[in-house]
Amino acid sequence: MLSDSVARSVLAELERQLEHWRLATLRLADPAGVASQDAWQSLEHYLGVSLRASLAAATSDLSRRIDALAMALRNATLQETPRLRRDLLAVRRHYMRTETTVDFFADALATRSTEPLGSWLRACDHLATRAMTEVLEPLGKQVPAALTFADKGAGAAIWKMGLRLWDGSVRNPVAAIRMSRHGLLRPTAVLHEVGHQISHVLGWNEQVRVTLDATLRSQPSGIAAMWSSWSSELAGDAFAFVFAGYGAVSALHDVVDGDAASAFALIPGDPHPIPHLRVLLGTAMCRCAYGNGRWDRLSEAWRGTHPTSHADADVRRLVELSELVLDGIVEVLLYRRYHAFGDRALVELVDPQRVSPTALDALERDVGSGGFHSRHWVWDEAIRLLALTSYRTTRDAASLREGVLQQDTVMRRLGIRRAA
Amino acid sequence: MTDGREQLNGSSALWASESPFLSDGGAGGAHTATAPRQESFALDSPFLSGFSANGRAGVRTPQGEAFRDMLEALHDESLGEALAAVADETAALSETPLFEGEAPALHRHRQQQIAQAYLDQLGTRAQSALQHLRDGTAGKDLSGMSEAGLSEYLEGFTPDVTGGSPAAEQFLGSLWKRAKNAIGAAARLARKGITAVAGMLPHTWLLNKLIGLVPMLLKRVLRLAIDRLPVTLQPIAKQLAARFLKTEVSESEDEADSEEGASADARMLATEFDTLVAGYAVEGEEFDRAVNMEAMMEDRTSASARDALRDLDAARSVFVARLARSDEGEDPMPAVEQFVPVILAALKLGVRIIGRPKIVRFLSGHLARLIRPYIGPDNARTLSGALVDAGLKLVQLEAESEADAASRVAGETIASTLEDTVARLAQTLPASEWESETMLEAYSRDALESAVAANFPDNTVRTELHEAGELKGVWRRPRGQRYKMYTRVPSIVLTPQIARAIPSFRGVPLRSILRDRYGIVGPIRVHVHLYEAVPGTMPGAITRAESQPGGPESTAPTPSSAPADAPSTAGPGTTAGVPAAESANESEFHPLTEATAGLLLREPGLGRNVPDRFLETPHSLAVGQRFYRLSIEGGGTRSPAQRGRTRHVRAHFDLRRGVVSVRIFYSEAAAQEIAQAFRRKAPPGVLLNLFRRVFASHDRVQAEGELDALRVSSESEAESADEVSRRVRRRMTGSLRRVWQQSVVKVIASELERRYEQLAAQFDAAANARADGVTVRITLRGVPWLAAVRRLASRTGAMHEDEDTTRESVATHEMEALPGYSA
Repeated sequence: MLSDSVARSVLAELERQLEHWRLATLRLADPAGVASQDAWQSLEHYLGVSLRASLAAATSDLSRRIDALAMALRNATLQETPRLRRDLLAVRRHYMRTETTVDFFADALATRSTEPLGSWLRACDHLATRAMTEVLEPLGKQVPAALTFADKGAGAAIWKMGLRLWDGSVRNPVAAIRMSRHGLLRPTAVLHEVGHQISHVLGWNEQVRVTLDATLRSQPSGIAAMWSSWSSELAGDAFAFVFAGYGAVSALHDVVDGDAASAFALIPGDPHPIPHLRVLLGTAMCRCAYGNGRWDRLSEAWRGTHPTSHADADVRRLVELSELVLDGIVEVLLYRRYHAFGDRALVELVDPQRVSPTALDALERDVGSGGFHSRHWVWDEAIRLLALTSYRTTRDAASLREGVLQQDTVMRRLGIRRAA
Repeated sequence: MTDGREQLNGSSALWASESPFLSDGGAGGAHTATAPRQESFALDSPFLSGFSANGRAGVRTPQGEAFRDMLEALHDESLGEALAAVADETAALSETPLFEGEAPALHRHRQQQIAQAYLDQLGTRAQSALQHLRDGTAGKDLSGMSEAGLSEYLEGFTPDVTGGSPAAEQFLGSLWKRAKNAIGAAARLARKGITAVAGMLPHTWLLNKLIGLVPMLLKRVLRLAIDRLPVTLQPIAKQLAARFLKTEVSESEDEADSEEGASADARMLATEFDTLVAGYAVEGEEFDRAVNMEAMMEDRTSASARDALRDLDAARSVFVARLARSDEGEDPMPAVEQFVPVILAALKLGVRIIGRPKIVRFLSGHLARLIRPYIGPDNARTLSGALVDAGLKLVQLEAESEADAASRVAGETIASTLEDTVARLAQTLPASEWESETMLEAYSRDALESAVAANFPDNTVRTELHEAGELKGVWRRPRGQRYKMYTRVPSIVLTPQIARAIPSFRGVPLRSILRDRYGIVGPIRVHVHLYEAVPGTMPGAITRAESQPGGPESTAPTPSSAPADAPSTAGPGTTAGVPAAESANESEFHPLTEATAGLLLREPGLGRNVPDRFLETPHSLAVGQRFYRLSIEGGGTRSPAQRGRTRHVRAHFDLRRGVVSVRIFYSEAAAQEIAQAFRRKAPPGVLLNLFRRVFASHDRVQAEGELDALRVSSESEAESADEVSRRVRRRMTGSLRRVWQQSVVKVIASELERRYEQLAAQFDAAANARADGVTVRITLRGVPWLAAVRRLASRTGAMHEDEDTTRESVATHEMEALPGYSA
């Protein structure tokens, strides 16, 4: 129990500290403190509006809490001091969580304010939005806004729209997609991440999980449970494949390749499939959809580099059993009809034949040599052009250079912005 | 016994119940149908009275010939478009509200300083680019070079036009092109032995003159941007041209038109500039004296008019304040009598009336009588309540009570109605008829009815006058702005089928614009923002106002038909409007005619029909003209920088040489479609259909009138090409339009049959180039139907629909495909 004089001192200190957090919150609420004007302007109008509104909601929630505490402090009795101190600490925690939310978007926006990185990221926004629109709009669902940002690391990630942010009060207003810098060379990963968002909106993950579990139930113990636990990542891979074809599989291969330990890594609770199986599932999708092709070489090279003998005994058993059911899993992912898709299969929503090698050859002829910088082609066929350039990168090193250059042209054109 | 005047007064008293307001109608119960509204005779007038071919025929002289040749060589529409964009941008940059009690002259000075700083910078860049060209070509005798050689030589000079705003880039690029055209034309004159100066190479001398003309040109832009009045740009050009053409200067057909331009058409500055350049090229230093004299005269006559819009702003504030202080039943006559002359002064047509106080008094008295029932605090409260119901967001200004705000809004509504009435009256009643009180009363009654229907809420207006059946709002001027907007922002699903049937400026179907500019092909939900032009409206200022804080950036999502008082009504979507620095252009604003309003909103009454000349570009709007902008919900549309040009068909009928030049610009989307068909080795028939689609949709959309960019160089020495072109366009019948289009289609068909591979390669190269779109240039010689055009071009020879124009055969032709938008 505090003496009256100590309690008065504590109350005075609490009031002083609260003022600190009030001023800090004011600063946090200033959009100019979050990102430069240029960075804000680099966003599409509607994206900027919804992002600003969400950040404002987060900080105003905190402000209200601070105001309430300030009033309580003004009218406090000395007996209330311990409770008010707890409230102040709660305000502090709330501030930190809000700051984490704000910082997340500040960092994301900061990567978009330099060129050509800004153009590449805006192009990714566009690819993501187009892909989501293609699936969600016919199903009557709202298409989330996409905000892509760059970060270090090997792979990409997504903070799905609608999920609660760190402050706990505000839902993420956009699909925030993190791309690795190297991933921007052949950005098929954005389509994988978009697959997560689509599956989340439509509730497909759960349906895939249940279907895999049912389909593989007859398999030896552990197979069904393992594959169904990977359903969300499998959904992302399936979307990337139907949108971008073999190019997406090859890009994924380049990301997950590693030593034997990582190629056969099975981490409990990790939604990512064992890389070995992930690559072979990708090539199996190609084979099912297109027959024989360049993916056979990739599959052969992968198996040669990563023979199952390199895996631990337990993993080896699971891998070898799984290889036998890959075609069945492809069937579940691509050709099985789902309620989430309006009783249609994924290939009926997004036809992978549009990005088959034959279709891409035709596209290459149609676009001519100027197609990669043509406003028309770049806008109308952004995803298929990505499929085309990604497919080109799978041939050899020289073709990879050529494909990456072409994709760079597409991305700069797609993400172009004139300073306002 | 009663005389005619008493009879008139007696009938006036009986007809007093014919007020457009519902309350009046209800009280009197005398809803006798009014006589059908008469169209202004001026609209039907062929404008030929007073023009006689004999009286105005020019005299052919070598100098006159040279002058005309020079004008033809200089012409291309890009400088006019660029000047309009720069003027728009300057107006937007210098837009600043008139402070309470600020003298109009001081306000102008503030605006001028902002505009001057921007234009000075632009002028310096333009002059330095031209100096680069002058210094690079100094000492080189160009008259000895062939046309092709000269063209190739000049291609070697590349100006730095990048780095500014799009409007600035457009201006610098088009000025550069003009300079090259001038050099080419001067070299041609020199080859003919016509040299304006001795002892100096003609092109160097001319470039020096061009450099000197840049500040003068930008000074005109500045005046246009900050004064906005339809300044008398044509006369100076005409007076100077008359020196060479030996003609009398008289009012052109368009100037005699009773429609009122909202602001001066900046494209006229290009005409003036060309006249000066051609004059210098032909007459040398001698021309200087004439230019200085005309400029001085023009400055003197227009100086008095330059503050008319600011005076109107100030007078409006005074009028609103006086009404706010008035009690129920108080006579508003003194306030109206003070306000009406200022409204007239801001109208080109009204200026002719101000000097006749009897008319002004009669008009003021008539209008005061009609607005009297709306004066006083109680009436103001009722009216402002009805306005809020009609979608107006009542904003209380600082230190303003609710009652004060209601009085102000009611006063603003009455002021707006009076301004609208006077503008409509000036546009419908021929100036010669204003002396007749009967005519004046009849027309002002009509004008007031329409103005009330537009500015007052429907529940105060007689049902048969309502503009909209369901979309009920009012036209409201945002505070401090020179345009009106409708208080409702409807949200509609725009299908490609509807978009195809709606013409935008120049008759380009809305569907083409959505496709070419925004990449939209399917149905799309859009917000439709409706605007009305008032004296001084410039589109750039609208986009500027709407992108300011408080504009769309900070606006909460607006429901589909949300109220819209301030200029901040854009919905939550990506606005298809433009950011502040991007000049408004054809693709952001579209004309709202009655037909368009019917198709788009199912509310034809919200549209307003205007003469064709106001349907060419949003840079040239009529007072009272309505137009709209679409904002698109959600993302997924192109950002402004990704938007390309829409297709454009330009034809030049050169009657002097018997040559028809057609330039068809295919948008990037259309060009790639054609290129794709070539790459797939599509049959010639398929390709021909893709090529001619540009005409097909024009035909469908433009049942009422041909709006392609059409230029006619007449054989007459007495008239400018602009005047003749407008006349031909106005008179051109459907069959003649079809014939010239068929001639072009025939050329394309024959080229596809004759040299498919060659054409495919040429088109492929053009489509693969970095520039957006492809221009197909077709030249026809020996076309038999040119005789019909010649007849249309003459002042007296109109063309009849049944006249034989079916012979579309072409003697010789050329066709080539060029990358981008090519002049």
